[in-house]
Amino acid sequence: MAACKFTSGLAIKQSVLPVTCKLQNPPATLTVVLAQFFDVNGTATTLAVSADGQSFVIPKTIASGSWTLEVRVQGGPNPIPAIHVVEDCDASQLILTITDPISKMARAALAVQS
Amino acid sequence: MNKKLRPLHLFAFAVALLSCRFSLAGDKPIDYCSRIATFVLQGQASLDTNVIDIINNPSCFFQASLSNSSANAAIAPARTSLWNAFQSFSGTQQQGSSLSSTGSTNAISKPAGPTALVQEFGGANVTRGTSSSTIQWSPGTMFTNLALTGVNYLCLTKSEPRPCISAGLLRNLAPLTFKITANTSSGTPSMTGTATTQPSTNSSQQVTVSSQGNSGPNFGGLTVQYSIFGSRNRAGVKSLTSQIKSNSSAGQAGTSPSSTTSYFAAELAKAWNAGNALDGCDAYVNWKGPATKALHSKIVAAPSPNPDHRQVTLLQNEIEAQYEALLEAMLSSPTCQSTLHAFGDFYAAILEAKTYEDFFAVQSSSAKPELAVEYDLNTPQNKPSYSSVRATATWLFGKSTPSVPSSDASQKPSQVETRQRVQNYVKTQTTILDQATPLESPLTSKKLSANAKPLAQATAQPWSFTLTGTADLYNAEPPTSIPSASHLRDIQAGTEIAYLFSPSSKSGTLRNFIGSVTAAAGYSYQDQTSPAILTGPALSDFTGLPSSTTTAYAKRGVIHLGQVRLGFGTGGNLNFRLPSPIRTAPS
Repeated sequence: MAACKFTSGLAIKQSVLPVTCKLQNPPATLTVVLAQFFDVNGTATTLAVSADGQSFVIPKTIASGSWTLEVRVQGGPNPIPAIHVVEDCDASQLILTITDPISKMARAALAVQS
Repeated sequence: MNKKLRPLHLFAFAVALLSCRFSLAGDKPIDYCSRIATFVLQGQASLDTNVIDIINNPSCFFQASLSNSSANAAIAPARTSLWNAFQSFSGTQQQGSSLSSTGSTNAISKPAGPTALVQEFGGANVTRGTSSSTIQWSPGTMFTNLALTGVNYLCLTKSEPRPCISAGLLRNLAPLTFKITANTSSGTPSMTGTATTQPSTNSSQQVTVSSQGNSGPNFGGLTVQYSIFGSRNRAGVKSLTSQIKSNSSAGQAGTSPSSTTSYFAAELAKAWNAGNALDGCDAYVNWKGPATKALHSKIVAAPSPNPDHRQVTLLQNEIEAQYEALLEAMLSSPTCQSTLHAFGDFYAAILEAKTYEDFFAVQSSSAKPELAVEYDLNTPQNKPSYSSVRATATWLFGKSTPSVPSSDASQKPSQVETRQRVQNYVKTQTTILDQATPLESPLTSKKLSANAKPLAQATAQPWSFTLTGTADLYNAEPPTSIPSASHLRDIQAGTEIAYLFSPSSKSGTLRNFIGSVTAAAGYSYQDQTSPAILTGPALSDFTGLPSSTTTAYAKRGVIHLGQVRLGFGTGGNLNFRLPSPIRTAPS
């Protein structure tokens, strides 16, 4: 495990990308179906989801600026419990929490610093 | 002495069994605002990101709007969207149109298919045949549509909104179907016959009978049918009411098919739009600070895995009050009108994605056999009344889950076609719903129905395989003067395999005009363990019977029946909405 790259204010330096985010203790059969980065104009960049659906990567190609990360999961029990998406690092930096059982998505504002 | 089986007792038993099921079900609808309050008090979620940012809490925000009809109407064509989206994923009517061998052109009876739930509007359904009419009523269908079209709301919490229909009730009623069959032909004698043996003074005589059809109209029979396993109606209701365990196959191995992501991508895009619009809504901007302060004031204890119920209620009430206040402010603010519209789109996208996800559950259920039990009370003319107990197993198969927009060029032409239909459906559905026209509009309703039809055809399972077993029992002990007569009238077994040909987008005008065509082959076996018994005034038409004859009986034996059938069309709903839609069936 490595030190966390995100700060608690969900800022990250562009130079330390890529960074991997993962589901923290998800229930069985619950997977990430889609993770997207939206810029200020609403243009979406789809992030690569791992083969097991448990993590995704914010790539090095993401430019510095203000972004909105949105993650949609599927499967799991009904209703789903609170699902935490964390940075894959020692301290498991919290990125966002999905709680809504119908939309099964959540968003977080991220700052990529040059 | 005659021993009566009392068919109404059997019916009462069935009702009691169902009542027992209802009481055992007891699933509670989800209280979205209570959930988020609990998460916050547990430390699982935060007020700032999961409550104040309403994009992350849309279900509770919607729930809070229920008490305000203006707010509810402004942000959510939700139920109509869900209902219509699900309707589009139904099979065709033809698969579910042959419910009984009585009054039907089919030798083999089947349980109601998924169409009974999603294509009918829920009222009584009249199927007209050449010599009979069958009135069918599925109470679960009617209540589901009442709930989902907002006539009576589906319960989001235990009893809210008032009045509401619980999901548990819908699920347990869904597999239940009532039918009443009436014979409608007239003008011909029901049968003719001659005495087989030298007439005697006995009151029961053996005869050779030729059926000439029914005379009538008259009561033909009553059917109570309940699918006890694999009910597709129940699977549909589970999806519609969010009570099913999500068992989507997509993404299980982490390789989400690209076909599914378009719905989820649309949901995320609409979430971004709604969030972006919120930033320009002064009511929301002004609400955030005071709401955060008010909500924080309700959290008086440190996070706990098991928060006190009163604390949860306190915070939940404050969340709902704050959301209601926000909605009120948004409704009256000119800068928030686009935000409200964006939320309407967001909810529509959520429900489209959810419906698509749930569709996998229904599709997977249709791959499993559906087992139904059925009770029929038959009162044929000039014959003793009898009861039928029937078990039916049906498999629908032959088509995988439909694809939706994808750039995968390796897909088969049929997949591409289905994909295109789904794409067209979503496009037009969005257009219609964007008009924020309530479903009550006949024009919109007609457009939605017409819109759903091609997709329903494209997604229907083409093959069906049916097995049935039936025992017919006389309701009264036959006269002892009839040799070998017993309560057990006959036993039957049958099987049918059918294939549904649906027109495609490449089909010509004539093919589209004809619509769906079903080719079927069936075989039925019947062992008459007790002689067929004839009574009543028809005996006077028989040749060679003494006037003292009150009962005649035919030979016992085994009947083999083979049937090859080609059915055209899928029937269509006449313009009768709830409570009395009428369907004409192919004959």
